[in-house]
Amino acid sequence: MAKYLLLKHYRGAPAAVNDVPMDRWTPEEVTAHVQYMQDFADRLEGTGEFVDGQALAPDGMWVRSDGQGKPPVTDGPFAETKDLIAGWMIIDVDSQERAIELAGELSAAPGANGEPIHEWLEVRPFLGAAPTITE
Amino acid sequence: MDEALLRAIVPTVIGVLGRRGADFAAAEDAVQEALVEAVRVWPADPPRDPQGWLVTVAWRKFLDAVRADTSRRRREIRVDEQPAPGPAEVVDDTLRLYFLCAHPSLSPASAVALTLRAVGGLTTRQIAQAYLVPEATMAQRISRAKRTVSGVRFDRPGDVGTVLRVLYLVFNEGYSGDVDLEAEAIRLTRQLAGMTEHPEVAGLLALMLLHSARRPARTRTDGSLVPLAEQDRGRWDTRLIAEGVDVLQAALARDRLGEYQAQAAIAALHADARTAEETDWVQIVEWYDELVRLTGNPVARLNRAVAVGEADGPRAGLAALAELDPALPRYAAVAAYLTERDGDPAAAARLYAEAARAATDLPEREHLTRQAARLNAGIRGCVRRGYFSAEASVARVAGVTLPRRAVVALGGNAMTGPDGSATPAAQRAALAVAAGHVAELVAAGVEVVLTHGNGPQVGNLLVKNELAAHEVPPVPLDWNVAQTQATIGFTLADELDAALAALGVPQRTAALVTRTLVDAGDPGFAAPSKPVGRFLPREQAERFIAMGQTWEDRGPRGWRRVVASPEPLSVVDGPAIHALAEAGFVVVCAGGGGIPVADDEGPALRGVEAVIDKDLTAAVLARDVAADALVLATDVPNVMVGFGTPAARPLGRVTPAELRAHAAAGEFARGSMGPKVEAVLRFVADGGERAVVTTLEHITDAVTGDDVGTVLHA
Repeated sequence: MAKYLLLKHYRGAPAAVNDVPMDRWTPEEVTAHVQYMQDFADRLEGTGEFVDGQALAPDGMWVRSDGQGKPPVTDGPFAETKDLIAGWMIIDVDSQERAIELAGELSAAPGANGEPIHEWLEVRPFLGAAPTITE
Repeated sequence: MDEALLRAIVPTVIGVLGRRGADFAAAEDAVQEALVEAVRVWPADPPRDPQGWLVTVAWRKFLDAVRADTSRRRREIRVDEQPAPGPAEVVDDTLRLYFLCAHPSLSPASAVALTLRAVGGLTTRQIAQAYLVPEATMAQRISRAKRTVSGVRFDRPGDVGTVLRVLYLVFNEGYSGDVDLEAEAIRLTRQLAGMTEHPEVAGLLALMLLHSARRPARTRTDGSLVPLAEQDRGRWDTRLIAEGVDVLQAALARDRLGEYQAQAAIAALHADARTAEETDWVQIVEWYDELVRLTGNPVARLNRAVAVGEADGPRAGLAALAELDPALPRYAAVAAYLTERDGDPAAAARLYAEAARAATDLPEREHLTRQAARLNAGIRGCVRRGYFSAEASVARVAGVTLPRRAVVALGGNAMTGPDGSATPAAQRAALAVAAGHVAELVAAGVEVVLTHGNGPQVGNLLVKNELAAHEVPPVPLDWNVAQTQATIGFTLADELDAALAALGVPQRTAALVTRTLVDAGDPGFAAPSKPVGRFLPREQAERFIAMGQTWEDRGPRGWRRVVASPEPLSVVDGPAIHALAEAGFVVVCAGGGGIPVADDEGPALRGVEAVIDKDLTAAVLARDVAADALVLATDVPNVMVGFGTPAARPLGRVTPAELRAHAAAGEFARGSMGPKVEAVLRFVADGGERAVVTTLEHITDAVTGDDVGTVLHA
């Protein structure tokens, strides 16, 4: 089994096919979208492949240490970043093919007009633990 | 509560329920529920008969579930009360469970989870923690696995190979969370080995024991990996090694070789070597040949290439590697290792970086990144400004043994402007140029101890002394030397730090005020002969003669002061310089040949009115700081013989005998090339390996090769 991170971007990813911002969907479309995501997570839990899923607020800031004894410096909210992560799902699957298959399903979540968004998701493998036998 | 005991009886209890009529999924669920209750109840109220307790509680859980199910489905299930099984049945029950949980219809991850729960007796929570997934996810994974095998008949014999694969996977997962999967895999394999005569089960057990023996040496306290060759073999568990070897030998004696026995044999050969150098790589290659023959596994072929590299040299290893698919995991890591051993650090660094990007686990990625960084740091040291490319420099370094530490002496021309100007700006500009050349030598990987002349500077101080004698008391010559050491040392340190930083070299500079011991009875004191300072008319010179100085009539230009130039005996501050060099500093020291001091056996050394030849001091310094090279930078690229005659020729690479013969023939002028030749001869006679006389801009080439400058070899 290998864990993969499925990353959803507010911006920074190539444009989706059904590229209408969520705030211009109908309330029913938003509900349908949220339900799809929830069903997807439930289904993965049922198949023993779900690890975690979280959504992130679009607002945030950069924080940097400014040296010992000084308060951290902040910058933001993200004025300059091109890439903005909206959320993630972590799955634990048998193969990369399965990770891609699941990301494809997640990308097809319904959006405006009830049509699949077909958005780009980033799929990143986790680095695991070292195996005991290497020779 | 004895958790190990509890876990060990789980398969038996599942077997009891099975023979009472429960299907596997229901029995396993019931036992898991009983197990969770045992974990809760036993610590406070341990049962006298743990197995009896577990059977009773599990059976009750089963009946509860059946009744719920029955009431739902309106269907009767007939269950029989049966006596507890005898020992033979226990073995059979447990063995059947191994086969069922590793059934080929299950994915490897499902088989692992089911085996750990039904055979290993771990709770779902423990398994979930070990594999870093939520408990609900793991529970579902196990439920699905059980549904998948629900149609499999409980008593059907299985394939031991699938069971071994599952146990191997559990072992290889290592140690995470609070469950020691390595130990659990060994327990389950040992238990299996007790129930079957299959030599591969013994082979896998031996393999696990031999690898587990290395566990204490495998990682550093920070979690980073220690490669096999670097492990502290004293920390290997000899008890586990002995058991592993015994188990393996018994298995091999049955003459039914398999992949686990072959792998264990390789592990045993490693265990057998007291040091990495003693490893019997030839035999290891033979075992890899067996392994490849048995499995055709490309990973085995990859590891074989490593072994071939050790047995027959990196070229042979690279040839074996060339036959494999570069897309194999760890291919780049193996290529990097063999390429470095083949003497191409630049290519190896690139491969290590590529391997790090491809690594699938964090400790390995960090290990490979460190390897790339180590090689890149070495290569960076060889990339010299404007002289040659990184590739050429590496080849060059590979061909010549670099000195570890060199003493470099800068001549007066390194400290004044091209027109001889000694304004502070001209001196700083000249020292900046010199610092750039010295920094290149440091960048090439040589530890540098830097010394310098001070003729023009000390001369200027003497003039100030003379001119201001009526205002401030003149200071003695040892003070003047100390003053020039400070100003030149400070300026050089400044410029060297800048030059080193510009080349990306991490070393920094330290300047040290340095004393050089001379003999108070040196004949030089009786007959001072070294001219210093400017020419003065006789009347003025006589004023200073009255103050105890020695002045000589030098003809039409007037009178000039002469001082003693005694032999340097040792550098008093040598140990401090040595310590600074060892600590990685480029040390600027012993300027102007060092502050001359004599030892009158009083409480302190005494500064004396003298100047010491800086090249002769450089030779003593090189000896005292254990330098293996001495570099005298001057204003000509080579020492010349036949100077000023049509037969004039530069000396290239020379032996001490040749150079001594030239010196004896009077080839070298006193006060110019003479002391340099004497210095390099003394250095080599004292055990130095390589001494060089050349211009400042050629010092690195002269140190790293034989075709530039006059190079004296021991």
